[in-house]
Amino acid sequence: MPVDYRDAAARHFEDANHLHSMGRWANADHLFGLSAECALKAVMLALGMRMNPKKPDKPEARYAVHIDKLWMQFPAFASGRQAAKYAALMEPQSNPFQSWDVNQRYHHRSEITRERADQHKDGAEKARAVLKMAELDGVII
Amino acid sequence: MSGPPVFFEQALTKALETVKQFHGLAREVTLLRDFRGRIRLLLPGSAVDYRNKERTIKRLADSLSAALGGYGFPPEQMILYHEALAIAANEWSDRFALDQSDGMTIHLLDRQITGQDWLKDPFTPQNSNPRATLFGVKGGVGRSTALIIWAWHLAQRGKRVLVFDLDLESPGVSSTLLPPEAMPDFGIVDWFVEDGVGQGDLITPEMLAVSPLASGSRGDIKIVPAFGSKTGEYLPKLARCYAQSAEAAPWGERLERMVTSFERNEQPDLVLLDSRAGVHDIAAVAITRMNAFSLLFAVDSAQTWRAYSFLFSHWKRHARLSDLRQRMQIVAAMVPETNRGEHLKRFREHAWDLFRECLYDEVPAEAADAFSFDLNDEEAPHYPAPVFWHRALQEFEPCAQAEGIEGKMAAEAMGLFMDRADRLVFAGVDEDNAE
Repeated sequence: MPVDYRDAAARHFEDANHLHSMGRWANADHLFGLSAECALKAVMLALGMRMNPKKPDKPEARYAVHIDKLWMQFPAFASGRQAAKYAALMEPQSNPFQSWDVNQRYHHRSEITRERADQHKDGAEKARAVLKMAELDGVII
Repeated sequence: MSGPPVFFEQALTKALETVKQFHGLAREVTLLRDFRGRIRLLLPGSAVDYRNKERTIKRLADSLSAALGGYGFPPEQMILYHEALAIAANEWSDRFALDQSDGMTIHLLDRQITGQDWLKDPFTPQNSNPRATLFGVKGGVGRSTALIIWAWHLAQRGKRVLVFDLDLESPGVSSTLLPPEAMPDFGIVDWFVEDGVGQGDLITPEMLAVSPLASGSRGDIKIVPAFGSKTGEYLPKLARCYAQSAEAAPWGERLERMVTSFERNEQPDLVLLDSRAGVHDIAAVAITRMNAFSLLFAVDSAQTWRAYSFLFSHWKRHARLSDLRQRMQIVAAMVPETNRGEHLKRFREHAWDLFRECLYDEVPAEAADAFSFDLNDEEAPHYPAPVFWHRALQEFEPCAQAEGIEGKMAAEAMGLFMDRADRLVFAGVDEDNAE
């Protein structure tokens, strides 16, 4: 199936908020992380990130990472006059997803607190703002 | 695609004409023009709000798509909704009304990579001293030289002048006013880089120097240069000057904050901003946002008037045009030694055409409250303050010469300019203590 980072970012975000409102912190938290990853990858793809020629549903190797690492890579990727605008929305030194791990899906629910989910909700909203700005600018249609 | 191609300048008009035919659809709509100039329509609310108007929406999308050619989108991508885009309030504030008719207001939200400052509101003034920005739409017309002589003249009269070298891409007044041994450690490029990591305040005490040029006078000239003796590599710093960050305010706000902090400490009688030439973001901030009087340098050439007309016609849209135009003065630069009268007459006519076309109200000059001036009105913004070409102003290095600036030369070349500029910036300021 073809990759659609923008729609994936939106649906993960919607479902994460749904779970968050029901107090289901663990899976909400997991989806906030995936949503942020997809939002940034949607912008990066529009700004020139290449997909892996051997695995067309994955980005080139250095960007085939999850949000805990991708957040830090985004500002380095987004240099140049146009992309710098999006990097400016993110604070690389305070990565909200430092405490997020894709493998937490295998962990016990009690490991993921509300505080943690709130922090990652905040991060997902920031990544979403980057995506929305790129849509407004016509970088992503 | 059928029909003749649509080019950038036609697209907006076509979009407006098309949307106006659908005036019953909403009270307020927005044309969103993206980085590449492509236009989409933004409707308030979300798609479900228009469920009972599906056919109208479809017709509108089809018409826009057909009208806009390469500056449009396929019909299904032509229309966006506010709620889906979650536009932040600060993004919205760049929007302005293009048209109001038949109960519908059509706004334009212009998304640009640079140049947004030309149309933004001025900052709330924190300073009590006047400011003047010296600008030329083209460089090499003696703008910085005029700034230095004017600053010197004011210092002679007992004024305390504070100069900022904002011509960061081509710094000039910094080294003309300050010999190497008088340079402070740091300059404006350093400040922007350090401020980017929250350390701007740490270097401000090391960014100011007194120019020896005015050492014998009652007043003084202090300067915040573009660079200092410890700046090191200039280009890598300059490249980071305009960087935005999540924590820091936009560039213009930061410049205003830096200038204000020096004003607070130094309490000058006048601040002079040497703006970068050309239509650049530095000039946009220095002319339109910093509550400064603008001295607009020009030579009488078709290319200069054309370049100014690009800028002035952009200002027609400025929400605060009525304030902005009150603080402008055109300067006739490098007026030749021969046939001065004839030259200035031609200059004045060209300047008048430019101002009438873009900035003056279209009414007779005698109409009350109208901002409109006769060709020969000496107080009009288009009536040139002249700077005469003078041999001594070529290769102007006053700090390197023992005699500094010679009063006779200054008066000959710039007497009329300085009278005019003094009146402009000090109008209403109590001069009892200075004279």
